Amino acid sequence: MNKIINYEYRRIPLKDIDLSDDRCRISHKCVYAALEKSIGASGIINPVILYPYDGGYKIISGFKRADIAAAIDALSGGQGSIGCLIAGDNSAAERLLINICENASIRELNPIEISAALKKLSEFYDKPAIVENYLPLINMQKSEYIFNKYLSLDRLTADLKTAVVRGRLPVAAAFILADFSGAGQTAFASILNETRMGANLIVETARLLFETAMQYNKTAERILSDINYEAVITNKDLTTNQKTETIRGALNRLKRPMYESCLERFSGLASAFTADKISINPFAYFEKDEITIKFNINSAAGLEKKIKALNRLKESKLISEFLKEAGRE
Amino acid sequence: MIRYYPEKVIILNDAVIRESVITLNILDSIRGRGIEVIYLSEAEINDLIEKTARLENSYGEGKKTLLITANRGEFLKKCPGTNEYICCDYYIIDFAQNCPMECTYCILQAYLNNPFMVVYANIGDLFAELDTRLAGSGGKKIRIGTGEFTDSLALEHLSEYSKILMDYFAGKPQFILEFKSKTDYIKTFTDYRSGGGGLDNILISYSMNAKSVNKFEELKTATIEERLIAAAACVRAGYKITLHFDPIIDYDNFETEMAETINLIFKYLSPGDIKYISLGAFRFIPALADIIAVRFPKSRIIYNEFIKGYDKKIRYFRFKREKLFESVINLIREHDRLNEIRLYFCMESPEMWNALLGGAPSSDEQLGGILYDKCVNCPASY
Ligand code: SF4
Repeated sequence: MNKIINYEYRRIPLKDIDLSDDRCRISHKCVYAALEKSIGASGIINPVILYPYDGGYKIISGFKRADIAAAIDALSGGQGSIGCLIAGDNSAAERLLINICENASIRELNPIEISAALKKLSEFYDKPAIVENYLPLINMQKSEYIFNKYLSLDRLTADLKTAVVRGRLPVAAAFILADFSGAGQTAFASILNETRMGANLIVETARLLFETAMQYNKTAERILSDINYEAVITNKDLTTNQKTETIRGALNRLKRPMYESCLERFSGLASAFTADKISINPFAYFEKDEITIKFNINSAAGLEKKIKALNRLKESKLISEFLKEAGRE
Repeated sequence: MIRYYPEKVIILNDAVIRESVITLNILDSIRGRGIEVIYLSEAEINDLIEKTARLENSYGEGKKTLLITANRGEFLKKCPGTNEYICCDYYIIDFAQNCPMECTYCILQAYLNNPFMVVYANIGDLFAELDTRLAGSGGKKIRIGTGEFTDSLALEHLSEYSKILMDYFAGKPQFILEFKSKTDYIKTFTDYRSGGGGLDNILISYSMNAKSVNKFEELKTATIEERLIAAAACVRAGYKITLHFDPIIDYDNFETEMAETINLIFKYLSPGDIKYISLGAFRFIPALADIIAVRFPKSRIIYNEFIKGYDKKIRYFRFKREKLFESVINLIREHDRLNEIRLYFCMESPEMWNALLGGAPSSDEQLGGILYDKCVNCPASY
């Protein structure tokens, strides 16, 4: 877009602005507390950009600012006005680009805004043109892969979009969740609300859920219902950490049933030696017929006790199962 | 199976490459097909490679171009093994890179940084290197394959590279030359026989898998039955055959479909026709999983009960591998009651060998020697 845009500054009554028209909107509709506070205290500093339409005005840029100003104004009778820049005659594509450029030039767009911008640009341009000309405009690498990834965020439910905007849901997890159905996303969102998972754990859990669903060729919501997640997150006796652990544990058992049951059997047999303070561990993933035995001694009598315990170990089921016929039922 | 023809051929503008028999063979076989042929310098080719590599589906797009160029590095390479898993002491001739077929699990997707189909036409350098290195091998029996960075026969209808290699290895019984393929191309082999070519040290190998894996994960390849028909024709022409169940993939209806494939094998071949069968379970580097997820989003092969092995590759949990191997071995042995076929594992632990094949080889070299002897000591079936 090489065209020079001329604006005229005017104060426009809020009632003359069509707040429902979101053809140019890329911001997600949710509560923006910090902006609300700032506008409440100092009013709108950057004027909203409008274009005349049918005797009134529609918004090109500044949707959040206009929403907040209108909400504040409604509390005091709805007669207020705001300072605006009125653009002249532009095509719909140009108006969209004005909004994207205006926002991208003063701050970093959040992933949901990028997704909305790409979706709306797709109404006017084809994918290669957007990748080539407009991804750099929003500081993104020219890549079809990146285009597809960000565009996929448009499939998130409104709640999850809000979670991304607020920084509660990392974008890496959002990319995974975008492949779930609405029901799967809603179920995951309720887990997110009821647990206090940190960013890494959220990504890992989303990936674990996605991979388990793929493994069984089931939907994410079906997998979550198989592990009875609702009972876990509504269980008042569990702490948020315990809820997280329970859900992840159940997913892991589904994902690696053979390994988990082997490990459980091994740990069960090894626990017979905990009283002797002998810790016994298998080789990683039982890949080798090898176990590690660890204990400390600080006296000859102590050594004698360990030798007795080791003799018991030699005759135990643990040795016969995991060293001779490892893992076979 | 539909044979590959590129949309464009790029030839390195260098006299050795322009006049190479490989280049001439390729130009001959594409004549009249309206395929664009251009000659470019090394710098121009590198530019083009870089540009194509930037495309999202660079690997898929790149295959439309066949690049005939020179191999500036080593042609003969040792198949990389690891200390913990037993390898079969195998050598590779790096004569071409990339493959026109599209197996979802193909490691080349993560391995190659040149997205074009590449054929190395400086065969003078190839033979000079083979002369020196093989002469220095001290009489060691060596098995050499060509199907590591490409499918051995995917471009054979264009280049006839295998035929040229067979000529080179004729009368060198110390070396076994193995062609591994998922195609059903046999013209080179049948023509070679009718021309009186020797075949004592030639092995033709076919990759086997369950029907659904073949259908959904080995795109653009020959069907299992087409490969077996090709194998049977090679046997009739007097060649020795080997089979590879690699990668064995835990798929829906695994047991039933494996049984179908193995029944099909013995419909076309008898145990005496097959010198050995290798068994390898699906394994991959983490980077490949990301590529498969993007290129083949419907494929579910990367979602399973996996662990990270000591070679840092992702592989099935040990007892899952054991279960998969056990059923394939039992199915094979139902047809091969006399144990005529030598079975071996590709990159498995001694524990797996002990559990299922009655003991592990003491070294990679020992396994390599056993496999060599199995082929050379058994006369071909004519
Ligand atoms: S045939 Fe072999 S080289 Fe070709 S795509 Fe399949 S696995 Fe890769």
